[in-house]
Amino acid sequence: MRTESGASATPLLQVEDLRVTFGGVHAVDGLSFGVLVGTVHGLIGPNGAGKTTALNAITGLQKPASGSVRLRGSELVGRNAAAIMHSGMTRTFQQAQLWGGMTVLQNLTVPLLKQGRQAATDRAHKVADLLDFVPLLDESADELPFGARRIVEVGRAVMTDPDVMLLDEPGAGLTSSEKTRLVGVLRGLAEQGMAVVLVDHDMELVMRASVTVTVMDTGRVIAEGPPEVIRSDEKVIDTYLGRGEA
Amino acid sequence: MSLTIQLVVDGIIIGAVYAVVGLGVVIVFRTTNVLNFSQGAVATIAGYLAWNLMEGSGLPYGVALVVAMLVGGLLGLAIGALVTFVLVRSSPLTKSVATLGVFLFLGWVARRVFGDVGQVLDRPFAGSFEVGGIFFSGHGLFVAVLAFTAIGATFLLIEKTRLGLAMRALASDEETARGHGISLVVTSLAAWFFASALGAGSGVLVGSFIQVDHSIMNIVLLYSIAALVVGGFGTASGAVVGGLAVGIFSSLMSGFASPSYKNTFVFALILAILIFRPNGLLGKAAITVPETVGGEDHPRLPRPGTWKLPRSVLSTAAIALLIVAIPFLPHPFSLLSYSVMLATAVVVVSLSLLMGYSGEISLGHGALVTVGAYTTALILAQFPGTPFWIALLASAAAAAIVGAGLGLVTLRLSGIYFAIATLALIYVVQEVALQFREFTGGAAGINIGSPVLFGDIVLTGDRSIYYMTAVILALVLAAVVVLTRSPIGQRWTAVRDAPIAAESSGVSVKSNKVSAFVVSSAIAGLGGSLLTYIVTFVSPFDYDLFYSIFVILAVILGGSGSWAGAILGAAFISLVPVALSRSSGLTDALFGIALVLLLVVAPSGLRGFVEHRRKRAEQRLTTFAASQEIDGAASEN
Repeated sequence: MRTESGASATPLLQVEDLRVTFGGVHAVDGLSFGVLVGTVHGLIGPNGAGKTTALNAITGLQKPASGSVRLRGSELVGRNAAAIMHSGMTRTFQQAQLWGGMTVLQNLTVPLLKQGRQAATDRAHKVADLLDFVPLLDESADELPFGARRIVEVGRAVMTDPDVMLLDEPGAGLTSSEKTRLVGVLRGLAEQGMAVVLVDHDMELVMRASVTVTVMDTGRVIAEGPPEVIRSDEKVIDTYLGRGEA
Repeated sequence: MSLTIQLVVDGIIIGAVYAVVGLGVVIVFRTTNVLNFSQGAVATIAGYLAWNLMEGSGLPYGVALVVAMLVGGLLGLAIGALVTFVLVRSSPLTKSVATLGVFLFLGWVARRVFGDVGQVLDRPFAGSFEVGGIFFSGHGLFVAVLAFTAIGATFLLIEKTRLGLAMRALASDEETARGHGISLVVTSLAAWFFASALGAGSGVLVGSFIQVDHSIMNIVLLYSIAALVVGGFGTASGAVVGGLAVGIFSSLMSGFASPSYKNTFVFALILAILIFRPNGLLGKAAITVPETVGGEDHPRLPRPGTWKLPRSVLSTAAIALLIVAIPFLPHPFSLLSYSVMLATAVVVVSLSLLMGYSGEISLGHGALVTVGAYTTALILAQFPGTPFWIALLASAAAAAIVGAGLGLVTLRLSGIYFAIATLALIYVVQEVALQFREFTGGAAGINIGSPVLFGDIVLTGDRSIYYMTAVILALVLAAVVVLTRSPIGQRWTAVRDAPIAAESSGVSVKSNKVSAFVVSSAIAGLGGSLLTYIVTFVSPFDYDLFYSIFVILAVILGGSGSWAGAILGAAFISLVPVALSRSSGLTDALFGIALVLLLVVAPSGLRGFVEHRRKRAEQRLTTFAASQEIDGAASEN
């Protein structure tokens, strides 16, 4: 399913001139970026930069005003969320959206129900092993601590072995050792050929995990490049420090 | 041509009354998001009160009208206080269901106080005159003038007064309004008072224009809700335009088609508008159907249960044994009543499944039961020897088809809008049963014979029918347990608990909501078929709005997702009326009180209530133990 041409310069996921407006507000204002196969792509920016709105538009939960989102060259704008997921893109949410009435195992199996329960259960065990939460499988999702909910949600997004996975603040509420583990997991998934889009508040986490980072502010891209370049970018420093002083 | 004009004039007069009632509904809805189903009952009481004041005390019309409006307003204030203070943390949908309970209770009060006889209020302007071939009754004009005055006064109130400003502020953004010093409580209560006074006034108008009795104002209320749907829900101008449109439309239909088709057309119109223009004819802004359905949106309505396998083999065996043994035990009621109870449990399971898995409340499950009941009756009328299981399955299929149709057209609807669509279904189905007389026997209904098991084996006698029903109930329960544990049930749970995550995980919210409604409908149809076999009769009025509310009560009583709870709830709603020897008024009152009480103290059913209490007690114990430890640690230092 996945092309192993990690070196190919054609992005697997290409977002072009994406715009989302609420009333008169341009929440996402001409966002463009491309994600290569086998990389973690960071998306950062201050509060209100439009990161989550962008993810919603990319995954079909929010209708963009204009622009295009292409996965392996085929247009996703206009398709609904379920169809987009079936074409190979999964995501997690800022507020972990687990199904509280189910166990962790059941949460994991839902995206794979079509392949039969046994196949889904087998895969769930593999994923839980990969993300190191096997002991949680039979817990009720309602009763999980905050950090565990996030890891389980990442696990659910991994279940279908997607080509692209978008993570919205997966690091929030994790301890530093959990974050280190998360970075390892994300890099591992990327090495296996997955493209990961990582949105997080924690600059350090994004810098450690990502190959390329796109910085957004008020709906626009203000910088893009490898972490070390972004770290010393004047505009980025201004945006973050400027906000800090205000 | 003059007939058309005449019909339009008549339509405007009654339409103005619908508009007044609709305004009352809108004022409460806009301010508090509650759809007040008790408005019709308040109007009935006001109408009767005015009649008594005029006949008994000889007061003039105007005084009686004002007193009745005042009393109606105070009654509304009391209902508003119940909703505002007692159900303070409940969702608007739960509060709306509570007003159904109030509606049942006030209906009984009205019967007790004023008797069953319909009355016509004295008309201050009895004469009539003719202008250019158009016939005006003095009283019709009088009613129209009063109604339009009330409409004008309402608009002045909304546009020009501080109260109106507060209402509009709350309607547009509650948080901001409260942040700017607008009191939610005061404004809500004022809205309840004013709206109910309007409703009461309309009761007096209808009482003199048509008559005052125990059902007419409920029909007027339904027409007003229809008007709101037509005009665009939740706006005052929509209520007026919709009211006039529905009045004129129904008047034209009764003039050109047939008066008896009037309701059919009006309720078909509601469904059509809900489908094609869900924002109403005038509506611009989209109806905000919440993205998230389920749990958090409907606090205090039953939390969906999981249809767990019975934990205790012993208690299951005990209940099963009791059901098997009932025919042999001394039973206070006829065995037929117990058969009805078991069939009702099937219906309760169907609604419980829907409320549990889609988070939606259906006011129209009676309609699906009616479809099932008639399917069986019609099959048996045509082919008397049909084995019962064929009729059962055909009934389930027929109800499922109706459910699929309604489910598909109401995809975009949620919460109160979904409830209204299902409410309309009751009247559409009722009208169809009434109109196709040559098949359905109209209001007289259909009588059927005993069920045929296979070939020549006929189940006669109450006992064999009782056991047949018990077996079907057991099969339905088993099927539900299996289904909810299957991938289908898992998808329903996913859609209910976190719809956005479901959609993003490839589980379509829409198709799973429809499938939940279809399965629920099929089971309801099955229940209807069983009920027809048991009572060997079906009529258009057997499973009406009241029946549907009772089923909601049973679900809330038993708790969603519990098979034992379904049987308990079914026993309550089917045996209590028998115990009260079919004094329907008293049953209504009792069920109305029970519904409100349950929503207040035990929204997740009696079992949930007990469990909640136990958990709280345990929590207190742990807190106590912890504080002891801290004390101990402190004293050690």
